[in-house]
Amino acid sequence: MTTLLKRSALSGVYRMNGAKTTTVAGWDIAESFGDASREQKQLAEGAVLVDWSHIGKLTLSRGDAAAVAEQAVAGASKAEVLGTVGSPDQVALRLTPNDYQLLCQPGQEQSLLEKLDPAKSTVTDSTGALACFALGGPRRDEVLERSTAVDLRRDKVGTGSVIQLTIHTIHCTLYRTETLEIITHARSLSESLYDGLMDVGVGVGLVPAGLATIPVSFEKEK
Amino acid sequence: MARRIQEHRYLTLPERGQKVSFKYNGKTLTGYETDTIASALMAEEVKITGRSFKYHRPRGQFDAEGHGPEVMVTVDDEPNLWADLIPLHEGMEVKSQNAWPSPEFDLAAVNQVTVPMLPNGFYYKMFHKPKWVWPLAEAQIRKVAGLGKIDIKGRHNKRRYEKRYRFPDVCVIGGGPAGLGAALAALEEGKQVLLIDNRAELGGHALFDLSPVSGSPVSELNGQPAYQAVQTLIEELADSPNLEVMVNTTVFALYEDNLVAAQCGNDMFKIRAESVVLCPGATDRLLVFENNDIPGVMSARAVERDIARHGVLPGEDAVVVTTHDGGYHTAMMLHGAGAKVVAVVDSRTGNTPGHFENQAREAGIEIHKGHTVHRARGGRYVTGVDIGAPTENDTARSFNCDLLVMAVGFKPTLNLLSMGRKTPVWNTERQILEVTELPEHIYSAGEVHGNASFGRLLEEGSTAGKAAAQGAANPATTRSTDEIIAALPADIECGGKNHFICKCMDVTRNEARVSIGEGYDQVESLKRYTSLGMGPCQGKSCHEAIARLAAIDTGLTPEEAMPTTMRPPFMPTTFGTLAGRAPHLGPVRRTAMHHAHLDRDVTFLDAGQWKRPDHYLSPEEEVKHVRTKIGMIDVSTLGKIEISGPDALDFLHFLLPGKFKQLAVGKTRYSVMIAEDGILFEDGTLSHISEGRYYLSTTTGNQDAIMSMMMWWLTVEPRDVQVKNLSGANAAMNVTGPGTREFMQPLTDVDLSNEAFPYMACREGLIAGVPVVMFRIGFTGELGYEIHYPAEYGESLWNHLLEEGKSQDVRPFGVETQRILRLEKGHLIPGTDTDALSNPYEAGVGFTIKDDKPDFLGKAFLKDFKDRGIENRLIPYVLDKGAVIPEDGVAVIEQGKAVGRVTSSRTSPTLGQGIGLAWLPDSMAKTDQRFTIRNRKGVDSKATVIDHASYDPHGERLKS
Repeated sequence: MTTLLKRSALSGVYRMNGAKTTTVAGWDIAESFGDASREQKQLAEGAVLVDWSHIGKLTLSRGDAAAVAEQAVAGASKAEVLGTVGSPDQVALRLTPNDYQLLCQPGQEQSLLEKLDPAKSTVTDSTGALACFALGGPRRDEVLERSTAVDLRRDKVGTGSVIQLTIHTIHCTLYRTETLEIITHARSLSESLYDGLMDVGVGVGLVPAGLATIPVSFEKEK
Repeated sequence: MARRIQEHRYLTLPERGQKVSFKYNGKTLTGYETDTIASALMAEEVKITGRSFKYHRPRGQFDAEGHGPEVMVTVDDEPNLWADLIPLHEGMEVKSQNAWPSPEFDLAAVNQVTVPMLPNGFYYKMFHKPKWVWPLAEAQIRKVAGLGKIDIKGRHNKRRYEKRYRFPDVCVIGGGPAGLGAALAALEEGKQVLLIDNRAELGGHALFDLSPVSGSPVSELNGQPAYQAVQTLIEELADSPNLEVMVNTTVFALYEDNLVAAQCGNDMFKIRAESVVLCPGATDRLLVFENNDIPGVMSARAVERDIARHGVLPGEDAVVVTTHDGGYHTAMMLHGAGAKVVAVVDSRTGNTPGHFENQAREAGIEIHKGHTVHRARGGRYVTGVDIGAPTENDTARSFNCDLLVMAVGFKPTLNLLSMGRKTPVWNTERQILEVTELPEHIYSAGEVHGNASFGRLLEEGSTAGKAAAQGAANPATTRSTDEIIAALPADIECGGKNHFICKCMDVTRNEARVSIGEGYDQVESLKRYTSLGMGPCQGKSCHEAIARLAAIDTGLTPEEAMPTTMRPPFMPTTFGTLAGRAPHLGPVRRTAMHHAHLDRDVTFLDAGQWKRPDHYLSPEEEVKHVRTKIGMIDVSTLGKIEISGPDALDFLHFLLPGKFKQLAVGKTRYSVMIAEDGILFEDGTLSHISEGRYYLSTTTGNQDAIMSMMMWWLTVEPRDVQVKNLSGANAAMNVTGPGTREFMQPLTDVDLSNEAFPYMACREGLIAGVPVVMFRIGFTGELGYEIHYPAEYGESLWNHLLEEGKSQDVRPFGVETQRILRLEKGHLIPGTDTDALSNPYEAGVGFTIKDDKPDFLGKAFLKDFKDRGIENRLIPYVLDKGAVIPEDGVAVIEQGKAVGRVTSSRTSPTLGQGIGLAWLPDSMAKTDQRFTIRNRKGVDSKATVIDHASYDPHGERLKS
């Protein structure tokens, strides 16, 4: 039987840029955009944008979302609003007192779903509905300061924080780790967001990169 | 004659940097990387840098502040830039403006003869009769009176315009002694500070101030010359981790809530600061006198800057006109640069000589007390000056000179303090305009409060910076009496007609007087009539002179002198800067199959933010294909909402006007949605997918509103319901056409037979291993399956079906095709065929309303509609064969009057004639009723009401 691949909203971008793709949890996802060493260099010196659309994404809302989040990620119910709890493999982002976004390694969303009691909260598998970028590199702040009117200074939005904001007029959720800005957003707007970020990123050397440059990790335990 | 100087007797000249070459009006010139365009032109002896707006009088550099119109140039195709602010760079192409063939020889200078013959405000009075004259006159007036021209093919159109953001605790605007003091103090308080200056280097006027510092709060600065002391301060700031310095950055506006708008190159910075400290400083006051505009008349600080920062001496024989010791400072700067200072003309008598006056005397410079300038002599450039007592007509002395330096006091740069909110007022005691109140968390310090010593400016800045960091009240300003500079009369009235008040718009004192005589005797009306203060500098040079002279000419006291309102932008800003870049403005929504559509040469339709395939072939061909074979359409943009939980049915009964208790698992039903006011606003299908799990599909445009409405009702009337918006999670396509079942059956585990999967049913299953929900519905009027499935498979499954369907000629079709197909079936589209007044009974979907339910949204108003009865109806119609197809939205005409309207109108490729939907009065909405549609060109088409779909009226095909 034919096995169909899951595709990122950036599949057209991959084609246009000659990306080398790999299959991860059934997803056809960019491993590199032709020159992995250049991507590594930009990660060290400039900024890179990596498509992480294949990560698992669950949303929890209404009911007793905190209790349900706790079933997936220990300590999630005690996380502060706009705070996060998790591990390199999965993280709970507390968006409001009763809204969470759970991010996990690609393909783990189903096993995570099975841990959750759907009667207690509205649990939605948003893996396909949401896209995700990881923005890395020392000059990533310069990309963001051209992209959003929100104050993202590190003493205001610290490592481990999550914030809902508008980037290039697109509603996004930004989770800040020590080395990355992890940005989830509507799949339908993903290519537009990519275009906007790349456009302003030209001046700071932002390049698209693949999983070979930044593999999926939520860094919480570091 | 201007020239470069190699050394200065009293100060160390800064390094000039690399030589650069640039072009000016096609000629290659050279300068240094530390030059501005204006200083480089000055060094190359380009004295006339432009021509005036109206009279085309010669103009040259005046103030080096970016305030004067005389140095506006076009740089690399970008017009109207200030040559005295823009740093020179290699290969720059600079062109003069408003002069032809050149500023040196400008044919339009004939205006100096012709324009004075025209009445004041002639453009309001002449060339208006006959009417056709004005457009011709206007074109000529614009040609000879104006600024630079935008080259729409120029290089500037390819420039990047960014919008950037900053969020400092304290934003200090102005990098002079006060600004530096404010920044240092705020940093000491542990704040993040953004320091902005419009020059390439910090320091402000102190960079060329030879005065020894005294009274500084930083004691080690005392005794140093100010120009060295300011460098010490700058070095102290250099390594502060909490400081960001932005140079070459102009703050052009300050809005409410401390939003600072700044431009650096083509980047616009939006800065939100907790506190803002304004230290914009002051500029040399504009004195009005005969020929005050000709090249060679320069402000003192412009002369000092050219000498001290650029190593350019603007003239060899200089006369300095002054009212304070600063004029003597300028004289010493000229003297130290090797110029001959012919005389210092000081209006004061009996003053205690200051530090530099004593130096000037020691240097043997001729000093004339109790006098001021009466007129500058010369046509194209200054050749001499007549002086005399300020209030007398008689000329006491005349001097030959090539540079007339004006040091007649300072005019605070109040624009950012005012910004349309606070009007400056004249302070007679301090002899300046001032803004006395500032909004909360806005502070000010420095020369904007009047002249003061370096030490006092630094201290005042430091106090303001500390207050800003602490959020304390704005500290009071103090000035000692010896720091006050008395203002001369705003106009030295010693005859002549060329007393320019507003150099931007070429308005003289005489014109202002005539206008006041005509009745424009308020400063705001005077401004509008004469254009005073409305030029590129927006009054920065002239607002004080305008206020003072308007007061005199209208008989007001100096305290009543009111300048025109200072509004943003402080400096002209390009639309490119304000607009930013395109990707910031209009995000595009793409479906999961977007790139598959691109591969097939699709024509897209913009549906809100969505890009939807409109058609691939012609819509007519696609209609025929669907009617005879198999077509596929991407309907991923539809809203998809899953409702489940114990109260799901109860919630649906409240939300929708139908009854769904009998809707068995596996069944689908058409439903409308009614707003609280009883208006039909939406339709879609509700499916019972599995026990207690319902799936509502909505139109593309209403999905967010419906989701919000659901969440609102669940908040105000809580129910045990789970609502999931799957609109983004699921892609969707409709596979339709007579051959669909045969095509699809081998690809899925769902039994597609009519018996197992009848019309208006739904099934879950797999296609190529992808989990899908299939709905057998028939918007197109053919057998069809709407397939909803995870968006991440959107492109793969779409391509898979097209690949598998090659042998059966399966083709994609677009939205326009779908619209024709549904019109052939007479299906309405809410929002297209209905509006904010359409009720469901009149729209023909009253069958979906079950008003015997206890309560549901819109029930009360629906009862009113029902009681009122039908007034209009939405009806399907066919046009006569060969009739012109009218446009959507045109009127139905009866006895010359509009009685109805067409909502959808197309040619039916299936029937070969026009079809559509129209609203008609109930009396006309009868089967076989003939009526007339008038199109936009006035052509009438005859139509006939039909009582059923024009295609497959009994639905046999879609149920087959």
